[in-house]
Amino acid sequence: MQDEKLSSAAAVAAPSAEAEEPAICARGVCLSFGGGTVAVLSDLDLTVARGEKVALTGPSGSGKTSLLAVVSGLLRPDSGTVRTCSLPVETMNEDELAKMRRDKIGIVFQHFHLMESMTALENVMLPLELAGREDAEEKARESLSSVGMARRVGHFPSQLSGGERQRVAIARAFAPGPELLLADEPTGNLDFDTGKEILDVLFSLAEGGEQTIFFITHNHELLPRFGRVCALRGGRLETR
Amino acid sequence: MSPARFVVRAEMRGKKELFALAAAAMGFATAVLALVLSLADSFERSFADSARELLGGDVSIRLSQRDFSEEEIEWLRANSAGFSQMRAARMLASGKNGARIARLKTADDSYPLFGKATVKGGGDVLAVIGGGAEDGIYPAVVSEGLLAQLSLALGDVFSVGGMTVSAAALIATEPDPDPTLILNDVLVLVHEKHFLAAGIVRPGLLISRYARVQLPPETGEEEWRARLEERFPDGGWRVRGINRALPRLQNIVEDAREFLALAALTAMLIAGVGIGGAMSAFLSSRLRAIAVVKMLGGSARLIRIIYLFMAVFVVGAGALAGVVFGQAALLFAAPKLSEHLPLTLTAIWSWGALGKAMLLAFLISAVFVLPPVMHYARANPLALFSGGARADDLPGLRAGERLLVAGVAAAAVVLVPLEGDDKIFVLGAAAAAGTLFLLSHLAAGLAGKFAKKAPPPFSWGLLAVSRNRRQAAASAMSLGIGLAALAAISNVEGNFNEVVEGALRDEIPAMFMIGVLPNQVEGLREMLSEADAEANMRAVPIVRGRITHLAGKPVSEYDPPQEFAWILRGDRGFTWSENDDFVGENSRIVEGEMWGGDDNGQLLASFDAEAAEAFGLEVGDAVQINILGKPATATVANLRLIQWERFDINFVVVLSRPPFANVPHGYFAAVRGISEQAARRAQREMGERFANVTPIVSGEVVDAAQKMLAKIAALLRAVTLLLLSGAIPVVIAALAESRHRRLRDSVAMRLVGTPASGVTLAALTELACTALVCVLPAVLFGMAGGWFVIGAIFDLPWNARAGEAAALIAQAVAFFLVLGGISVFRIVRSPPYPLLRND
Ligand SMILES: Nc1ncnc2c1ncn2[C@@H]1O[C@H](COP(=O)(O)OP(=O)(O)O)[C@@H](O)[C@H]1O
Ligand SMILES: [Mg+2]
Repeated sequence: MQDEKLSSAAAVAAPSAEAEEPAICARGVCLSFGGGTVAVLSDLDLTVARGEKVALTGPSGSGKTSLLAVVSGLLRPDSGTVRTCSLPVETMNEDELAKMRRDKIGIVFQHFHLMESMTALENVMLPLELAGREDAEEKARESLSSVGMARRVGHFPSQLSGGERQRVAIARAFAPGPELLLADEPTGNLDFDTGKEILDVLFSLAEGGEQTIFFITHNHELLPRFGRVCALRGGRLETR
Repeated sequence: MSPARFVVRAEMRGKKELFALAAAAMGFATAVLALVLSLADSFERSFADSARELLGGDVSIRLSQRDFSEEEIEWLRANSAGFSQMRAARMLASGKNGARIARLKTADDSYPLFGKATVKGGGDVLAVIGGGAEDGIYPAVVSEGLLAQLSLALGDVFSVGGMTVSAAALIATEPDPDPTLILNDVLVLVHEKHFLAAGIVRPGLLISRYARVQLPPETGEEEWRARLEERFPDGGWRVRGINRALPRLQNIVEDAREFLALAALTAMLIAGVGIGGAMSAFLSSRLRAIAVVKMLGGSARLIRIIYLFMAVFVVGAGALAGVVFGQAALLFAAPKLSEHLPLTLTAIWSWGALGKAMLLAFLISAVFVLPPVMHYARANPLALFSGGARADDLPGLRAGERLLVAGVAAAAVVLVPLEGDDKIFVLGAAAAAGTLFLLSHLAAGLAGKFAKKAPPPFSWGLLAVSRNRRQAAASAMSLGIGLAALAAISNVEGNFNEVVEGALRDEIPAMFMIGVLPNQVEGLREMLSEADAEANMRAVPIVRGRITHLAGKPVSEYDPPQEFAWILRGDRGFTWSENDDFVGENSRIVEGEMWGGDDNGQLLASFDAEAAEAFGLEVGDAVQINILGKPATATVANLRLIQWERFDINFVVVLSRPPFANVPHGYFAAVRGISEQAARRAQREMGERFANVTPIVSGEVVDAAQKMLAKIAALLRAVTLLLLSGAIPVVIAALAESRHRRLRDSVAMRLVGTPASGVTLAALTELACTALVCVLPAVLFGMAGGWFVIGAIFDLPWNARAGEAAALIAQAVAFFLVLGGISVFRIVRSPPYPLLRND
């Protein structure tokens, strides 16, 4: 299963244009809940170039998480087109979307979401195993030591603090070497100092310009670290 | 390592107690099924291996009331590789200390054709019984049971059917036991020459003659029987081949197989519900893990593979252990069972039976495991952005998925090792389980309605019941089958006992007498009125024969329903009466007319109306019977609707006169109006004065029937308790599924300042109410079953026996409270902090 090629839909994407194509390209995205009663995104356009590091801010309930979910293919918009990592998200089926996440995207959540039944090492190995990588353990160890968790590989999430859990989650997101890293308030559940540490870790990993980062945060002190800051208001994006 | 194995390895670290319990329940059910099926297979093989010994030949031919003719014997000798004759009769054996019905059997010099008949202490039966008689006392080989019942010792002299014998030796092996098995342990075996010399054979005596043959080489049974039929078309005998060597036992084995297989399958059904519940509880706790795997790129298919693999592992371990255990039990039980059986039961490795048990365990588990797995595989990683995932948000199964589950269920039903008709019972059990599920679901919903009227801690409990209807209903379904069965058994047994104690003992004649000779009727009547002045004896002539044609068609062409098949199958008694003796309160003429005096000597018959309907027989049709090899044809003059359960003497066929002149016949008599003691005294006296008569004291038979009923009820109860023990994991699973929720509720309640007592009260209210919702419908269901058996099938007065039902309900609720109470206690005592910390 791990050797399956990406979908036919993905293959259709013009390969020649790929180098120049942005990591995220959303056009005219509309999204609503409750059968149209709660409009969240209305005619939204978003372009994030490859290697760009973009912060997304906005008041609670403005639809930031929803936008991230649309970009990662976890939520289907009512209308509009979304291309993530050069793939036509809105035309792909569940399994194709799952493979896209596996091969191209890393996500970090506010609530960590580690597997409780797995050790830190196994948690980081999981996406690599899902991708059928032979070097899963080696890569996972590397990734864990790059977030400073080399000495906690054998511990279960319940034995780790919040900051440590988030480090493992970051290691998990980075281990397969995703093209795009999505983060939804990854410091929201941590105290200020720990949050800063976590960001340092994140940015040190993303250094070198290869990785695209799309990052939701409330914390204004962090914004200077990003190349661009977008704000979501009234269902549309404003760039600052 | 494949991704599925990688995840499974981690997931197997979690709590597996529930799975272990459920798997144990499934393993147990598999063990019982494997044991039952391979035991039945072993029986079949053992029957086949010793069929010739059991039957006494390759073919056994039985005649009643007449001997084989010279011509017949000559033909049988000429057309066989071995030939032996035997006689068997039930006769009163009486010694100095008492009288008992015994099985008198005679053997000739070729006995036995197959196997060995030996006496205790070594030696051949023939060597003992073939010896000479001294002073009219003949040597007999007897069974221990007979000596015990007559309080006699080896060497003592007693009389059997008027023949004086000495208990010369004890039987060690009797290769050809009583085919009815009833009187196996009261054997008196004498030599044919002595039996004939004793001069006790008289017309009218009920003696079966058997001719056993060893087939000539290269001759098939079918072919041989066809030749016999061709040579003696009017033989009037019954022929048995080796496939029906011991029909009574074979039928018992077959019935027991069906019943026990049904019980095991029900246990599997319950275990299946348990495994489904355990899987559901487990998956609800793995919801977030599933979402994470899917978020990281695992497909729904991968999720299904992961958890189905775990289920296969768990069920496989249980089923494998079950099969091994079942086979071990068979190997252990076979020699023990052999001691109580007339044949040596050899345990075989019936791979078919074991495989079938295992396959059914998988299929039935699959029916219950597939839905939660397919359901939870839908977990949406989107929920990870907001805290976690909830099961309620998941969509239901797709049509294709439902079809798959239905397909697996259908495959299980096809595989079910029951006869076609009995498969209905499996569907019935499933339907009953479904009904219980719905009833409990409804009842739990009602609890929610009451919640608004109850004060706080109770209302919380009631609300929780209605919110968790599904779990309550799942428990109800699995516990319910067992509980309903238990309630039904108690109800039926209780009602039967009431009938037996009341009506039966009062209505049934105190004594029956079989084999009375015509010249003994008046003597007996006198003797009885001496024993008790109130004695009222009714004696009717009886001759044995069989029905050969109905309305001109041979009975072999009829295929009536089972309850009437016996009428056409072999020998039965016929009686006659010139007047309307057999018409009365309990036997009304519903069609045709009673005969008068002017029938021009035509032979008329009165037929049982219900049987006539089953055969399509009408007034005016001819009934041809064969009595002592002679055919006689009677015209049906009327049909009688007989209430057999009133215990009056009655017959399916009553003739208007003896079928032909000087027909050798006996009498059958029933005595009313005397006490049981008087009947017993009369029985003893008969042993001396009317030795050929077989008296049966009803009180003894009723006692025996009651004991038998109690035994059957105890057996059924034991099986049901096994079923119930299989349901315990299901209840535990259901309680566990709601435990997490109850834990959170209790933490929330305590955070807002509810005292521990309030939390406990709410939880106990929920438990007690859940218990009632589970138990009440089941017990009512069982009572309805009791009514159906007593009132509808047996047409007897039915009593609800509410006290018994209430006691059962109380026990079941208490059981629930104990099971769930432990978890409530743990919850109330657990500190809230860790829970809050782990989101
Ligand atoms: N599954 C859902 N059903 C209904 N409304 C939803 C759902 N998910 C989000 N919403 C609504 O959409 C809006 C945007 O939510 P969200 O994207 O989580 O905002 P943010 O992440 O900016 O706080 C909110 O008003 C929220 O209530
Ligand atoms: Mg959000």
